[in-house]
Amino acid sequence: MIEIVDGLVDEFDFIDLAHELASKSIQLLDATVAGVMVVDARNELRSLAVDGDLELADGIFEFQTFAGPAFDCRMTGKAIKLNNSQDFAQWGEIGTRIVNLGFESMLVVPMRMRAQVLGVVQIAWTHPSDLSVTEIQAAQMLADFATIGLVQRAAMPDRRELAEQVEFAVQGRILIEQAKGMLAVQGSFTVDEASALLVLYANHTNEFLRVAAQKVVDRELRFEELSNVGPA
Amino acid sequence: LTLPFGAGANVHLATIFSQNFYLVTLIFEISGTLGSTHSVGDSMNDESVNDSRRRFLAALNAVESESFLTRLCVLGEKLVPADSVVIVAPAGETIISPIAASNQLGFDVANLELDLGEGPSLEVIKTGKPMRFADLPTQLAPIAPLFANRAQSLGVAAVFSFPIQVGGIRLGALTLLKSEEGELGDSENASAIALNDLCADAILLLQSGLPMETFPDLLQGSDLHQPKIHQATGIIAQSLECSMSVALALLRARAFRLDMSLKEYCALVVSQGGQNVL
Repeated sequence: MIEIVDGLVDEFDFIDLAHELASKSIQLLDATVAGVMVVDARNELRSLAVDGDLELADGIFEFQTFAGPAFDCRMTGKAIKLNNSQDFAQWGEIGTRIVNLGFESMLVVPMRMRAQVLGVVQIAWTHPSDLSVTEIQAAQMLADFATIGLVQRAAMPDRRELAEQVEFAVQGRILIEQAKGMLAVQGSFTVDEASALLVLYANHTNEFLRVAAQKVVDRELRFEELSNVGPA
Repeated sequence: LTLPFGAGANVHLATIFSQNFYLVTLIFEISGTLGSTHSVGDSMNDESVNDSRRRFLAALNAVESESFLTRLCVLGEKLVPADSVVIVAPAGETIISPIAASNQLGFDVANLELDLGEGPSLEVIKTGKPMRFADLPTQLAPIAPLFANRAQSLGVAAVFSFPIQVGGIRLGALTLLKSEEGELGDSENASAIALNDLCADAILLLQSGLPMETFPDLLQGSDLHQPKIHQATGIIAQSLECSMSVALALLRARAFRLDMSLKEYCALVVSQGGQNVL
């Protein structure tokens, strides 16, 4: 047997941190949706974790691969703040699509490592919001946590290792989505309900989301067992 | 929201992220470098993975073979370039089986792994992570001594192996063999990633039973990054009690017959919770 995985991975998985950050963003900033997106080896923004209203979140996160506020934040490395629905007009069709989903304000902050933008944290509300400097700083700090989680302990991360780390996380997200689909059928849930159940299970058992999802996919863990774990 | 900023804020957030407490010490170590510069450089690969993918797709018809995966291997050998390219599929816990190679060397090396029960493709399939051995004697020998030794005697000096997977669907490994030691250069690496993506797409298409003539078009428009595709895969795998890869193959075949994109059809499956869709 070979020890391939470096030490940290045993105790830390970026997917879990991304989920935690998305959920904290919602709590701290009273947001409708929040999510963490990273730049993969194909140079495209991939959504790793979303929280809040998941149906709305899918809409806002999935179509910004090639344009939109998140895309611009990633390209410029600068935070982008949209206080009301008029502010979305400058993004043309993408802006209209976001507003049509019901969003009226949004904040995107970069995950920056020196000159490189590794991804963005995106937070949106279904009402207008005039964000204070403190709130923007809070969001930026969450993004900094994400950056550090992604580069882990390497002060000078190798580009290729970083790309592999991102790819590993992206595959983890896919695995989690597959598991959600299975759980949804098992328990006659919606996919969103299945998602909440999986996250709750992982939190209560201190298991990595990826590991729990793998067990579901391998048919070693069913929704009944997930449902049995909860606050005492 | 009343967060005190400055050092206190870190402590405050640290309590929020108690599970990741060690990050707080890290933030002090690294925070000086976060956002400290105004020139935003670009990207990891300057879009070269996408360029490589286009290069592969454009050259697809120049290679003749009845096996689509062999065509990809032959193209990989030329375009990455490598001395041999081999694709192996998992066949049980510790067994792999070579399914395509650009030449005999690829088959020989894959069979070596099969015979010895150790080697890079096996590790990749087990861990789901890429393995890079730029120099066999120093990097691979400590891990897989028998394999490293025999592979060297076949003239292999470096091995790069990548997982072919879609989340929980472990399709196999793509392994590049080189007769000269040394890391892959940036463009070689980008080509390997592009080839790896194409292998995943192509194996899934083959499993869907679609005619090979349709592959080039379907490969152009492939996007396996939509969450609904993977949710729908789980829904079908559970409903029909089939494997995840069969489920995805069924979805693809059904979408094709309905003249819908995979993404559109999967969104439909998710919205109907898997009822009456296949």
